[in-house]
Amino acid sequence: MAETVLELDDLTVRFHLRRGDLTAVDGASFSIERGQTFGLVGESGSGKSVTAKAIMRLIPAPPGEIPRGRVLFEGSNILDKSDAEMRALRGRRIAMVFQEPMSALNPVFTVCDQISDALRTNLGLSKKEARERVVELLSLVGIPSPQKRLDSYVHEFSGGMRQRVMLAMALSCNPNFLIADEPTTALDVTIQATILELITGMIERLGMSLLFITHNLGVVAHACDRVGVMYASHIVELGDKREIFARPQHPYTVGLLNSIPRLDGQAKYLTPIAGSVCNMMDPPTGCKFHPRCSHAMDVCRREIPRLKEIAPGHLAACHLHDRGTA
Amino acid sequence: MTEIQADKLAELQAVRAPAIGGRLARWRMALGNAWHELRKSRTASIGAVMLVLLFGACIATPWITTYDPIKQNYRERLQPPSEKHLLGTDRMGRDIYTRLLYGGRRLVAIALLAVTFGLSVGIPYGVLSGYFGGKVDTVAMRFIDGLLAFPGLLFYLLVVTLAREWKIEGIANDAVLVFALGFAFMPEVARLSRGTVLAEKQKEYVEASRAVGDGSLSIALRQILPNIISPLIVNATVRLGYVILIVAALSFLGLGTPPPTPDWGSDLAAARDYMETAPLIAAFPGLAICYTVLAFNLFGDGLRDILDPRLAER
Repeated sequence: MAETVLELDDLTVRFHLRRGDLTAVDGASFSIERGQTFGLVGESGSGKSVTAKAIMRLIPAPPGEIPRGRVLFEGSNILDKSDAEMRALRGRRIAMVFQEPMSALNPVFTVCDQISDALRTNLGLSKKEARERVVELLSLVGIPSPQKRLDSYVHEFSGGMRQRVMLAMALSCNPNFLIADEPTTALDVTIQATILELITGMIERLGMSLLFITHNLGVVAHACDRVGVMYASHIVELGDKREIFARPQHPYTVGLLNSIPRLDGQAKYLTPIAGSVCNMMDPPTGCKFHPRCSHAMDVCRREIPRLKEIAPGHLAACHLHDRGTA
Repeated sequence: MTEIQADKLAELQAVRAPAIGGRLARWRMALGNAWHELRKSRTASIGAVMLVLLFGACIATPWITTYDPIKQNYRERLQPPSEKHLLGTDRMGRDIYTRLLYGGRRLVAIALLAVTFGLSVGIPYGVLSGYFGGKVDTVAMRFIDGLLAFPGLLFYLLVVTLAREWKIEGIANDAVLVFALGFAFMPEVARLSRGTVLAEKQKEYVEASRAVGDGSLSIALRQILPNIISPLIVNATVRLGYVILIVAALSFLGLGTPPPTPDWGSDLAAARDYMETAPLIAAFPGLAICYTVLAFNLFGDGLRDILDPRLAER
């Protein structure tokens, strides 16, 4: 088995809000190996981005709190690190690509200033060295004639180009772990594919690991090795991409797959998942999915199902599997 | 194949975007842009022209005046404007034109220094308070509230009286004035910058710079500050006019600089006794105060229109 880069163990993130407590991530556990791409899928508000931010320790506290769990990055717990140690880790070892490339780049600096800032603080390069490295990075992420674009401001780039700049910034200090938080969501479809290709290509070329957060199963199918499906703060299914797509075990995953339009014309109508996401301030008891689940049983209303191994490396959290019926 | 096409398309787009040259060209362009932007607002352009004239006169004062602003000449008292004395002479026979220019020079310098002082203390104070938030912010802002509750004019009177009491004179007296004016401006700056930081720190680029390993101080002062500078510039410009008015008012009340020094406020006060016989002597310092305050206010207001993104149409 390959070396584990990141391991989440029972990670729980809670927010203390005026209206009450909200558990955004509840007992998330998964691990990512070197060179692997892990896709975290779920709809809006399921806790994907909070998970990513917890890994980067970007959860503002207060109101955020991590009451239990560990985030092991290369063997040491990120949650125990001091702020200074964390700063040294961010950018240099773990980097992040954000969803909205316009707002995630500072509008008052040129691209070169922005990327070289990280290079100079993290790697201590001189101004000239940093500039050379920025040119290198920009051409690496496929920005044509980078020398000419160096002193451009963010608003002078198109959406796809901005996301390339984001990626260049994330890659600038040679991190070995990249978190991409819905990097293609804000882009139009053709550019999505290009950027996706670029990211996966980079990961392969630079031997990095990737945590890919998305709500788009198509993107997962394209880019990821392993997949975790999140629903209302819980990871409900975890497994290899092929396994998940071929033999989904959790009713939610099944629902997600059924609601994707298919090109081969199997079904005339899409089957949506009935209902909408539960209110996280007042979640249902037991399995969070039971109000929308067509297989819901009594036990689902009482007990929160645990992740159980159904096939080697394939886990699902559903009471249906307690009786051996899928 | 669609990926490759998309790539090509993106490439084409990028190539068509204007190619931008070196830093010098960029600066020249920025300056040109600034003028272009300024032209959008008539108020701002009028203010700008008035200010350029004002600053020009202040800088060139020693070269465009021929008389001594302080030396008295009783043979030429209270003269009306003539070729010899452009704006006439005052009760001591001093050339009014000369005195106005020297007085303006000092006044503008005091105002600039005071506002700079207020900005340089208030901005870091407000930015850090807003950025760190929580208890730090609460305590820091209650202190500012306390300062704001204290009436400005009373504070200046207090400081000026104390300075007089302790026999602080000459340049030191001006420094005290600068300090007092700047200090009174500080709470306003702190509050304004805190408010804008509160909005700005929610933006994703702040989180992004945290994610590349920037420290809090660097994020607050190097990433956020440049983004919130425009309301501060507007505020400072308008404040310059206000500070000039205050300084003139103080010396009008006899609390500014002592008499021989040329000063619009005290010259105006001294001219009151001749209002019936030679009203022009009072008119000129008054007009000068008007002109200057108007220039700053027009420029500031126009600048607000230009810099306010909600009004930007393109």
